[in-house]
Amino acid sequence: MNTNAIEIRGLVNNYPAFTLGPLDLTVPRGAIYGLIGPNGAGKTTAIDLIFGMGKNDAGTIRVAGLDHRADEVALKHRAAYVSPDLNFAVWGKVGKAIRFVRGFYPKWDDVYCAELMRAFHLSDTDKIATLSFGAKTKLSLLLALSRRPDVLILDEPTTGLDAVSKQQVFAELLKAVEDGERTVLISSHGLGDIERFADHVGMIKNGKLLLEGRTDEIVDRFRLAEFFTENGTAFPNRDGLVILRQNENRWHALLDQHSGAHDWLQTRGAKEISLTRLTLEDLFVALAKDEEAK
Amino acid sequence: MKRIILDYFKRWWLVLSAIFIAYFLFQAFAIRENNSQPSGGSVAIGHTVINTVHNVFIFQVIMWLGFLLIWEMQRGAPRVLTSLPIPTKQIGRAWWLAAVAFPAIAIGVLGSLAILIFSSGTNIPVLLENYLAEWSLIALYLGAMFGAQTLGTPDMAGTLFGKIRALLSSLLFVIILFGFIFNQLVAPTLARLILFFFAAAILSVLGWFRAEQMVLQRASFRLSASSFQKNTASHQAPQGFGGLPYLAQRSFVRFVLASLALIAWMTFAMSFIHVSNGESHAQVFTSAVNGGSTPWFFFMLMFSIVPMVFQLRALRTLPIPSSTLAATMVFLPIFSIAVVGVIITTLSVSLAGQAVMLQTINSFLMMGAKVASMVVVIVWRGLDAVTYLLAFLLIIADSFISLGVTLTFHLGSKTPEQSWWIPLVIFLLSLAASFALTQRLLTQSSSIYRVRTMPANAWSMARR
Repeated sequence: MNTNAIEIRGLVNNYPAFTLGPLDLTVPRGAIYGLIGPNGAGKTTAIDLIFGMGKNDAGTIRVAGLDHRADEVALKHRAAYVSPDLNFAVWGKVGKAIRFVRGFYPKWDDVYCAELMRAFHLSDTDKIATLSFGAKTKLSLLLALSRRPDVLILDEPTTGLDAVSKQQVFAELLKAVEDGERTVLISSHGLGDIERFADHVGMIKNGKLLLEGRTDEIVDRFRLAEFFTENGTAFPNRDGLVILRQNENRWHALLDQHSGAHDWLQTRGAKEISLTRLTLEDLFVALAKDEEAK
Repeated sequence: MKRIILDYFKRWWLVLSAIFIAYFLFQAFAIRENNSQPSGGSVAIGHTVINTVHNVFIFQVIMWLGFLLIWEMQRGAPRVLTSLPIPTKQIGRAWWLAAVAFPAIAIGVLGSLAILIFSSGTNIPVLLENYLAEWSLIALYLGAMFGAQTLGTPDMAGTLFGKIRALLSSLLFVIILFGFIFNQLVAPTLARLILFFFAAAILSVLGWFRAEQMVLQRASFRLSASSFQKNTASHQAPQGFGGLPYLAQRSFVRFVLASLALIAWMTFAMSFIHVSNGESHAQVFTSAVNGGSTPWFFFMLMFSIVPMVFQLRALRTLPIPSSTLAATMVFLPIFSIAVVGVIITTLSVSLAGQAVMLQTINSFLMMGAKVASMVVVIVWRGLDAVTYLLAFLLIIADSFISLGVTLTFHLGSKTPEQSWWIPLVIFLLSLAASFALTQRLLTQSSSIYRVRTMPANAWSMARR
């Protein structure tokens, strides 16, 4: 049995002003995978391609072992998509939107749906157009979770949510994956949330994957290095070392502990090297800056 | 205020230019035809041409100009503009000037120019005097459409008062539209003209004063309605079928009922006109179907196709093959038109005889062709200016085809009724092309799934 819920290999999509890929992405089964990247990095484009919204120029996408083109319908039976962009307002009321979507899924869980309605303070008679932005996202999540999908793909689901609602949403997501069978791919700018909830993370910039792996391993791997020089030695960027700023003899850099950059610094005469643990957000900003500089 | 007006013209210049050019050309053509009226057996055909140009082409051009503001509102502009540092009153009044005053002035200038250039110098004062009445009707139609928009409040609260108010405001549009059609098609009597002018003038003035309210309503509809929401969560497992059959049922029932109501109203209005003129039942039905085709077409776009396109992103994430989704988007409106067509044709044949059958079927086939073509355009472009322009050009093309068929077969040995195959071929080609292109867009394009409209646009959809 395939241990990966989502496998993207060599995905390329060319636009007039942007190229996605080549992109390789692996989401293990049962994981909560955070896909992070700046605006315009290609996160939504990649997710859209999974659901057939656009045609990739090269590469393959497999979800739960199913090809996104050849097994389009089977894939969509097993995967659900959540985004504030999904417009259900044309259905008028929440109950009608539920009735419509429910009709596609034989495994639809009415009891769970009712439970989510209570948790999200939604009612069948609520008019969708009058719901707040956050409530619309909750509706989108409710419609996805109630079908009990094997793979749940969320595109910026926390946009417009207050702190309490965010906790609710993540609590439901954790509940959904607690049996270890379901997988969540979540694209978000809320890096604090991703660090707390996602056990895997992928960082994307300019259509390319910069980094991928277990969140704890990635956070452990990188450190903010502070060091001093005495003789005016210059420290250029190199593999595993990204210079962030320099103030006279004082340097700050992003250091990959697996790269041997620490030893290299010492051999170049760096003094008083101190390493500080980074948050995912710090790491993301540093890597994004480095990519921009390149 | 100046910036708002300029912005409006900047966004709609393509559509407005097409409308103004078409208006000028049709006016010029009608005046020239009138001047060079041939003698003998061709007189009847000449009259047919002039009447068609006046009653169909010019009439549709103006009607489409009046619908532009409804289209603009659906694009969510009020919500964007109210965030700018301009008083709301100025935004509303700028819109009134841009949608009513300036287009009316432009139409007046173009119409007068057409008379001055193409009337060969004869009877210019009389022609201008007659044109003044026609122009006043057009200006007041534009003003009244604006006024009706300012009274149209979305029923978000769901109260009885709100529902009645929403129904009345919708009815007002219908009344204005048919008041305009009525005055276009029937030789005006002084009393009737005074009545229409009086009512339309009130609405136009009201529009000027209530323009601010209109902007506020459209910009803040969600917030004002939210206060009515109950904060109690409740859910009952839905009964009955869901999925695509549910989508089809909702779309089909609403559309068929609304269409039948619209055509019934048209038939009533036309029977009033034609019977009072001593004309036949056949004429009543033909005019009802033809005269109502433009508002019906617009209604079809806004309430049958656009709601599906608004939820395209959501639809694409559901387990439906792209071919089924494309077929639903193209064939569902066509099926609704076909059912309305069968009902109306059966009724018209039973009441007016076989003479109207083919002409009625042809009208429905051409409507089907136009709607099928617009499905792919709206999927491709959303509610933008090019969509509106293409819809306008389709209407004009349809009128040209109808006129061409009529003239060709009048002059030839066959009757227009024997030309049924032309609309049928156009319909089938449009249907096939629309399905193929829509499916291609659904699978190949990523831009069609990106949100191209403001969430606030959906106000009229949510009302349903």
